[in-house]
Amino acid sequence: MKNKYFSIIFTIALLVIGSRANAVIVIEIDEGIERGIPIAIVPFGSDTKDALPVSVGQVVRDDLARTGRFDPIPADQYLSSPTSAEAMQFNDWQVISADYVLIGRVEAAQDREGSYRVIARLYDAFEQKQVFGIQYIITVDKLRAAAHRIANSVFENITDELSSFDTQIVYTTTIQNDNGGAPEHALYLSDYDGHNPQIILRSEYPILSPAWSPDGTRVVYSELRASGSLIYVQTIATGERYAIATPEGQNSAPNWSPDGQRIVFSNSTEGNYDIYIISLADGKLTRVTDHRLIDTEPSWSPDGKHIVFTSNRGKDPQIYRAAAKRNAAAQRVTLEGRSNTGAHYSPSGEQLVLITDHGRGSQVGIFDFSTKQIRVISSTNIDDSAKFSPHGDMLIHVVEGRDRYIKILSPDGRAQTRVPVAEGRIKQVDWGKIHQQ
Amino acid sequence: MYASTRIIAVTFISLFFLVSCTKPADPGMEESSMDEPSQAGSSETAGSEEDSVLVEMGLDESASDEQMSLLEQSTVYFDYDESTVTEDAQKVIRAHANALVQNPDVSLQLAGHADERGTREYNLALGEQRALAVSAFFQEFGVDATRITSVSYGEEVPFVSGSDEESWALNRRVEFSHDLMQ
Repeated sequence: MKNKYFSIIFTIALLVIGSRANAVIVIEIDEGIERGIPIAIVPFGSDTKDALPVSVGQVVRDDLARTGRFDPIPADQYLSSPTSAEAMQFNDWQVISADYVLIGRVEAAQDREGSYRVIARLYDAFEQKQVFGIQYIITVDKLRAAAHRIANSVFENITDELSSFDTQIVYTTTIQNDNGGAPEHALYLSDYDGHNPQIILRSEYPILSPAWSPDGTRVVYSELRASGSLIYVQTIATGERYAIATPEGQNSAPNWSPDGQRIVFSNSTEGNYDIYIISLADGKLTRVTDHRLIDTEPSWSPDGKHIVFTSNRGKDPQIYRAAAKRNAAAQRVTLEGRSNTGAHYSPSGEQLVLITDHGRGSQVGIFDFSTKQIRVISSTNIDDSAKFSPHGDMLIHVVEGRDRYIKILSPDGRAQTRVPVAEGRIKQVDWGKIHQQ
Repeated sequence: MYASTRIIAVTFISLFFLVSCTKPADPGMEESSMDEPSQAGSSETAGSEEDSVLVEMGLDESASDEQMSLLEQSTVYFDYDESTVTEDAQKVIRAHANALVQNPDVSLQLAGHADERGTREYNLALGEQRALAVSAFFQEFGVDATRITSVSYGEEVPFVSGSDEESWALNRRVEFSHDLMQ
């Protein structure tokens, strides 16, 4: 792990047009915050007859920039553009202060028709040595996946931490009917950066609170109906779903236990939301809270012991924590801010991401259990649905308002990247827990 | 004394409830358009025409002009993150409650809503808390609890789509609608 960080005192907004027209990547660097690791990502060479559908170098560059841990050096500063080990001149990279250099190329695989060989090498420019070299033999549809794998390798080799570039998200949208009919509600599955979207559910009812199972095979969500909202568990691969045996009334905000065996949710039968746990195997119900005011949006701690939830028992909505058991005593967690809602644990369990009102609207904040303080990390102010990536290297959330979109944030907030939405008005998002094959 | 119902009252109320008493739809069936402020309950939903029922509520001659004007309002509004029923809202509720007491065959549906700030899940709960707070006042003013149903749409069905204080204030609301008792 290198520590060549520099404090900078100005703001740069870098606009990079991605491979889709609306995939605008905005990397904002805030005043006084440490700079990322300077890395050069040389455009990958290619000997293929036809243009490749994916720029591997661009995918890697975008992945690394989203974490805020890296500052890719613009390609127009490069003195050379090597694509093989033989062409690598370390001096060219020391001149432009690159700590690391990634080079590579995509070749038609000699022995397999329609397949490609993707080769990538990462160099430490200061030490003048190769950090790693990897190669993938793939079909063209896996080119993007290979690029994400390369980005994972770069991130993990340099930071000694895991990254989430080859994971997926689910998100919900409302698609207006052009003919004036009822709008349609959709649940989408896509790569974490919005690519390869596919609809996994269409519904006439609003789909709320999608949450990915810990093993990555299922998603739980609620469907909002005036007659009584139900909670469904859907298997992603097959599209099959079933309603879990929740009590009468409105059932809302489902979330998984870390072992995937139970669902925590809120139910309003007697006109007021309280927190319940249901065991998927036998349908056994456990009522966690019983309070005359609102208790909702439960989220399970990674160690399985606690549940955090939102309650207005202290007048303003704030985050409370209770043991994951019957009639648990609740302790207030958040102590500052006009309101705090929608808390979800970080993978380590040491932090919560939440939607906080610090007087500037609804913003993404990170609460730290050790300091008891909330750090606002978003520059937008009608934020909703904030979650950590599976390794905590990024966060994702929805920006509401007239211009609605999904945004990926670095944990320090300095990189804020827009994610394209397939179709409709974005509502909520959740980040899948497992790596793609 | 329904025979002495003032013509103006009948005309007005009939007109009003014809619009608002379409069968209470699931939220999937209604969402205001992005650009035009629209009455959520009167969106052009397929099938809403055949579902609509004419609910006519008669009022006795003691109904004052002020009460008539209060009956014109079928929405009450709330402060940010609040479900406290304001004094203005209580006046509206009292007027509607009096009309309901005089028309025991009419039921009341309350739909609670929130503005887009805060999370969708919390807003769903907040909309319900608001609907229940309004329900409690209706009961206080003599409407039997069995005649009232309440539902929350959270922030899913905004009255207006703007993202400013003015729009948010219009979206923090409970709407009343009516149907004939089964």
